[in-house]
Amino acid sequence: MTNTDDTIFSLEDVSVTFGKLKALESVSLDIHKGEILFITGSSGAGKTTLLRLLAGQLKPDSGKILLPKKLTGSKLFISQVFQDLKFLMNKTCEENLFHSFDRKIYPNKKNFLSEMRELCKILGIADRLHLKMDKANGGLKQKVALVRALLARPDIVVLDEPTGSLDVDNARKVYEVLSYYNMKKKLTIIWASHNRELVKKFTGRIIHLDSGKLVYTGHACFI
Amino acid sequence: MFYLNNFFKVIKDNLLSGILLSTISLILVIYMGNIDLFKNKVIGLYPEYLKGPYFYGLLSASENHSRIRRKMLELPGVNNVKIIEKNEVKNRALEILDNFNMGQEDEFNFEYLGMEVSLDREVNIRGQELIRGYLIRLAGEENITLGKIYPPSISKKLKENLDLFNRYGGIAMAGFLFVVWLFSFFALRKKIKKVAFLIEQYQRKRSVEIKIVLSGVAFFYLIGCVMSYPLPTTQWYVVAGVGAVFIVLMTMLSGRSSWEN
Repeated sequence: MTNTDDTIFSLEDVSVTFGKLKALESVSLDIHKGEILFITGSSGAGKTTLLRLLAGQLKPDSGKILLPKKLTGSKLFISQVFQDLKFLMNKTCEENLFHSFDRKIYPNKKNFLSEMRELCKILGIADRLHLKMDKANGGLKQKVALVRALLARPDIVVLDEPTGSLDVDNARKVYEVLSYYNMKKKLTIIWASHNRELVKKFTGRIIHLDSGKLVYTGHACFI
Repeated sequence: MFYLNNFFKVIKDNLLSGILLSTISLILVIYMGNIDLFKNKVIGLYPEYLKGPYFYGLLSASENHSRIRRKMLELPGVNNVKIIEKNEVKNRALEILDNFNMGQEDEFNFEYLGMEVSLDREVNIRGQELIRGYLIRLAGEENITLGKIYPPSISKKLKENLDLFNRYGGIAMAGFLFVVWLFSFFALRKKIKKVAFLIEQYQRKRSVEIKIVLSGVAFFYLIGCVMSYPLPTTQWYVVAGVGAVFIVLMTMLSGRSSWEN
């Protein structure tokens, strides 16, 4: 593995086991700043485990992982959208979005509100923000989770099946929003999906996992 | 302000445990600072417990009873001096005479006030005699007639119970309040943990849980201090101790923010 200056994650021979199950086996990988990386693989291939490693929620059993703080010297902010979407269910979608309202990022509340409305409008959920989370369907929840993650203005966003409850058109919208943030704000996107056909339509680097092993790395359009 | 605001939002969403935690925090601060005051208030509901031996006296109505009462109350060992009004004494006397078919109001001129002198429980017989002697000298031997000394009128059972309360009641009450406080704290903690987790996930903030909890409890602690301020009996070192216990407990109980379903 050769680390370039813009490397923000570096994994060398990383393995993770849960009991007898090898969730990841000798995975080596570099992730660069401003990159769009798709992690594909069937269920149980180790996608979520890899994401959790990158999000700092897991430690490898063997191998070496260098996180952004070690590599860049500064702590990069990571937003996560995992499959178990965490919301306050008795609150509305809008109230849940306000968890991303950080005064350090938005000294003026108007900026936060306009960005929130803009994102919600693009994703087609602006008229459903008043709904309580426990009344929201899976698609709405996924979109709200994505908006919340983006409103935090992260340096890196880690997404686990972010379009699992969405049709192809809505999945494309999500991709377009993310690639806009990638271009404009140099957002690093790490997106795990079992749907290889969907990912092929997008632009970015792709890695494919099979039974915990990294079996392919290359550009999405060449898969 | 951000953390306090979030504390109140959690309280708003969980009214029962929120109000319980806020109220008990307040009560705990005020109570612990004035534990003796509250204990004495409860004991004060049973005046017979504080009252030791007592005796009655008949005092000439022409005497300045207010002065005598004041002077007597200044005496160590005197717990209370109660003046019984002239009419009340007269009626009582007539009642007794009537029982013997002796009294007729028109031929009975009874110009006396009654006086009930209660002594402290620990005054010994020598002390009791000295107090009686002082009262006689104060009123003049010819102006006062004293009755016999009665033992304290409290029942043995009540006295035992109140002795027990006097010894352990204050601390038992504090313990009870503390348990209720812990209960309400744990009921609210799970909700605070969730909010703290979300804030840490999507804002550049750390140790949110402890900051929310500390700001909320500190708020009610300060209100408790302000409310205790006019009470002259407040023991401020105890209040400070309660504050220290709050901080230590919060720090111990608030760990890394996590999402618990």
